[in-house]
Formats: sequence, C-alpha cells, structure tokens
Amino acid sequence: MIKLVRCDDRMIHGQFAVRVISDFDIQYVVGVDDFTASNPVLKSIFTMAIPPSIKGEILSTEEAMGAIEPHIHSSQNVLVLIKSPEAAAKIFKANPDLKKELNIGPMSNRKNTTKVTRFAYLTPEEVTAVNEMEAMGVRVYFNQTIDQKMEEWADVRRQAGL
Amino acid sequence: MPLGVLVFTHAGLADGFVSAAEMILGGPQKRFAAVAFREGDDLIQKSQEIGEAIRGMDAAFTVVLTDLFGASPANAASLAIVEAQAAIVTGANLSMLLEALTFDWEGMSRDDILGQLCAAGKGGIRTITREMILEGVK
Repeated sequence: MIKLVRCDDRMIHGQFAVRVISDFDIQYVVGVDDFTASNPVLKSIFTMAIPPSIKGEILSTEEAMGAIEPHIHSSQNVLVLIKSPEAAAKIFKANPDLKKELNIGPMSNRKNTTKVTRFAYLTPEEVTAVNEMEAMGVRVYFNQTIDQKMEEWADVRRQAGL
Repeated sequence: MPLGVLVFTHAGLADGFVSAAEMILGGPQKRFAAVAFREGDDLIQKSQEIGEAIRGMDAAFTVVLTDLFGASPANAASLAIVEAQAAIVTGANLSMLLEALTFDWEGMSRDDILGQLCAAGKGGIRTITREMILEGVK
C-alpha cells in the first residue's frame, strides 16, 4: 500500500534516509522528478542513493502517472516521493483511487519563493498547484518529521498571507 | 603526486573537520579544502562549485570526503566526479581525514587509495569501556 505521498525538493537525502523510511516502515520508493529522470547521470546517482535497505525507482511525472496504481494495492509499504507540487497535482488527477493526502516536507528557498513554513518555501506556481489539489479534495499538510506538528494548508496559506 | 583532499559535508561539519585536523597536524595543510552544503543550496550549483574546487587543487587526483551516502552533498559530489579526476569516500571521520592528509600516496592506484581510506575510517571506530581500562590496572 502507499503509506505516504510526499513532496520534498531534495528527494533522496539525509532526513529521508534516516527518518522518513523508518518512521513509515517504507520498503519501496517511487521517486518522481522530470529533470532527474531525464538526465541519465542524475538518474543513476539518485537511484544509487536509495538506501540499501529498500528498493525503488526514479520516474518522470508522465511515467509515474501510470505507474502508481499497482502500488495502491500491493503488500509492500510504498512511499511516493515527488519533487514538485505541480507533478503531485497531475498524479492525483490521474489516480482517483489514490488516497487524497499529500505531505509537503522540505521545499528549499529558491528564487521567487514565499516562505510558508519554517522548512517550506513555495513558488506561485506551486501555490496554485496546492490550491488545485485542495479543490480536488486532497488534504495537504506540512510536516518534516513525525515528531513535529502537522500544519494544514488552510492555516499555512492564511498565515503566509497567500 | 600528492592527493588533494576536499571535505564536503552538511552545514559546518566540514569546517569542524578542518579545525580539528589543523589542531592535530599543527597548522594549515596544502591541497586541503572544505565546502559546506547549507540549507537551501542548489544541488547543480554546488556540484559545479565542487568541480571548480577539484580543478583548483593542484593535485593529480582528489578525494572528496563527505558525510552521508545518498545525501545532498554526496549526490552533488557524485555529479561533479563524472567529469573530474576525483572519487568520493562517504562516512568521513577524523581518522580517515588524517590518513588522507598524512599518508604518502605516491604511486598507489585509485582503488588502493580508496580502500585504505575506508579501512582507516573503519579502524578508527572502536569502543572503550571502564572494564577494559581497569583490566590494564590489575
């Protein structure tokens, strides 16, 4: 089953390896990012970076839209790890059976972003995508690790003045 | 030809390694640089910075010592070493760093160098209990 659908713009990294995998007892990760999937060197590096205790793959958004379904009902604990909220919106749209819940984790302070939580900065396009998902009925919440509090999009959006 | 040593870690760990190594070795070392991967840094940009640091090393070969396999510093360095005369050892600790800085690597193959650095790092991991200490006092 899909234990978690999460946005994290650094994809496979320390916090992911050390916390997220064990907190959710993940056995398989579906990594989704067009740039990484289309660059053979980066795809190789990120596939190599998947912790040896689990299995996984890196896909483009297009590939992921069609690849999610079997994981919904599989016996493995699967994490869908998506770099961008825009890609997440497409995935939810293409998979009506997917539980409508998105965890947004660390999103870094890139150009043109607004700080929405201590660890998440979103571009206007990403804000639009999150609003789109909310309108679809997806519960979007912000949380880095499970020992911290979960912040709901409605509150985060209001506090950020968006 | 001496080895270039580049420490590349999350946050200030790299600078900490530099301070500790300089304290032990009695001062600044040649062909030794530190780079930090900070909150919000861009992976591609950081990999270019690493590539430049390697080229600026004045060494035929550079080892990039990084803290955590699969984390952003290691991933950024991985991208850089595809084009550079360098290789990465992860799980860097002070034992490994001191070995890198003090051993005479002349004439050794890349894989032998990497093997020895891994062994040095692992060899530094030992436990000390009070029983062991008191055993020696008897």
